[in-house]
Amino acid sequence: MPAVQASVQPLFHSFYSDHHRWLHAWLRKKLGCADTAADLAHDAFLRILSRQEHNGFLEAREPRAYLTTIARGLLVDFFRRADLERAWLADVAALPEALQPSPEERLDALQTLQAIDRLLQAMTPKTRAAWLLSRIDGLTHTEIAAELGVSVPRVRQYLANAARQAYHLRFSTGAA
Amino acid sequence: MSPPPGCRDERDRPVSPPVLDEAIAWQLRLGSGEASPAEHHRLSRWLAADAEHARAWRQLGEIDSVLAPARGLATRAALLKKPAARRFGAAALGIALALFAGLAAVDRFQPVGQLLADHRTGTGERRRVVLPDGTVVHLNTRSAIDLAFDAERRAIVLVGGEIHVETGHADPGEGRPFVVLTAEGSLRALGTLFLVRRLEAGDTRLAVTHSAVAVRPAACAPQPAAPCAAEQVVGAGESVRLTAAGAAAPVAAPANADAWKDGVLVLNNQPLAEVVAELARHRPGHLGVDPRVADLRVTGTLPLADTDQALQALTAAVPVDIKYRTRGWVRVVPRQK
Repeated sequence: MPAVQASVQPLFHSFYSDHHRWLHAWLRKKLGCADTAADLAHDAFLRILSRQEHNGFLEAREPRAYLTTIARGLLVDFFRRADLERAWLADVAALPEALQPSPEERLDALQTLQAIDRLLQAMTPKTRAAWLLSRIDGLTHTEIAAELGVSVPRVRQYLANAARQAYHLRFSTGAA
Repeated sequence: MSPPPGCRDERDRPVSPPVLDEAIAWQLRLGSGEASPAEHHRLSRWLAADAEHARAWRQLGEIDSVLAPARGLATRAALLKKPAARRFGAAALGIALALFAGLAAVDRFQPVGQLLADHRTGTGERRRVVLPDGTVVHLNTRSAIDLAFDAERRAIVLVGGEIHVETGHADPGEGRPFVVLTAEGSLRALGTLFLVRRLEAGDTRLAVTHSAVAVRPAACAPQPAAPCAAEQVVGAGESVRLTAAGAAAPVAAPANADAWKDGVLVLNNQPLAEVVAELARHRPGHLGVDPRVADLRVTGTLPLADTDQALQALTAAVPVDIKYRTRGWVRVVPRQK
């Protein structure tokens, strides 16, 4: 553990005990569920701790405003994840019994979906549309061009960009 | 998609940018839908030439398999939905870019301009609405109306889609005219049963099934007292098209155009392209028709509640096959010999 982290530890502890209860109550009001609120409050403090080389929580003049900003971001992610999960479960429910995924496969699929979501959000709308039509629906470039109202060379450009973005997210992140 | 730390092995090591570009070029060539067997052969030679080539190819394939959970229609729609705005963070750019695709995806299920209307239907939905004066309005798939009743008139605004109106006489002393308004003009009921269709902006179509309707272009005030030289009275069995340029001359209305109220589509020698366009309005996802069969004529009755069944029924009427790429992407093609 780097030295800076060790020295900040006691300060973080007092920051946590001063505001944890309050943040939990704030999240609980937004979510209407104590358990999820506890999880998200935990995540919020973890996030602050992992960012502490900036010492944001020490410098913040209004620690609760700082906390709610972080918690709000987590809430947005949480609702988005819940939406994706609901949609995927609805799709899965329509499958025949033999194709129903196991609980482990479900967990995997849901995590994968979040990664796909992040990836798609980084693409332009046409790139995203072209890529899904090509990779999931198996449409030819001519069909995609007709669907999106663009030229075939433009479709190829979208697809190449999408493949490059997906590749870098999957294989190059964290690599030197 | 990133593996946990410590698990990155040789198989996951990124390839050099030029090799990645070549692998993507191969993926594009083979995915174009026009790749020849000779090209497949050349690809195998390229793959065998260098271990890095093979690794790039396998990695691209892995990305495809990762996409599998996004196949379902509901999941697709959720993924394309615009994420809620975050207060800060690098995601802001992605959010701005996602907006358009999100809207396009919603539009497949519910035209976006209609989300705030008083009464509306989603894709494949049909609804009967009784207005305060006893008028019964049937809304066809993907349709929306706003109520604009006031002291002067009983008006409804057809935002988009298709409605069937059966004007009510709950109060015998009712003196206010009943008017359907669209951006293209006003349609005043003269006692009556009629259909109004507005499938795209700038194009309103009226078909009268009983008594008559007075049609005025948008240039005229909708009040009956206001003079309007361009007013036309359209009688039972007649149909007119109203655009920004005014109303065209009436033509014979198609028989049974209002059969959708009863959940069926009645076809009488109609081109397949029109039939498919009609079914497509009742179904989420893409439904297309191959130009080689677009002009085939269809006669018969199709169920609207189950468009898959309707498509199957089409194959009995004309020599076509229904090609399902996914449930969300369907095409009517010439029958394979």
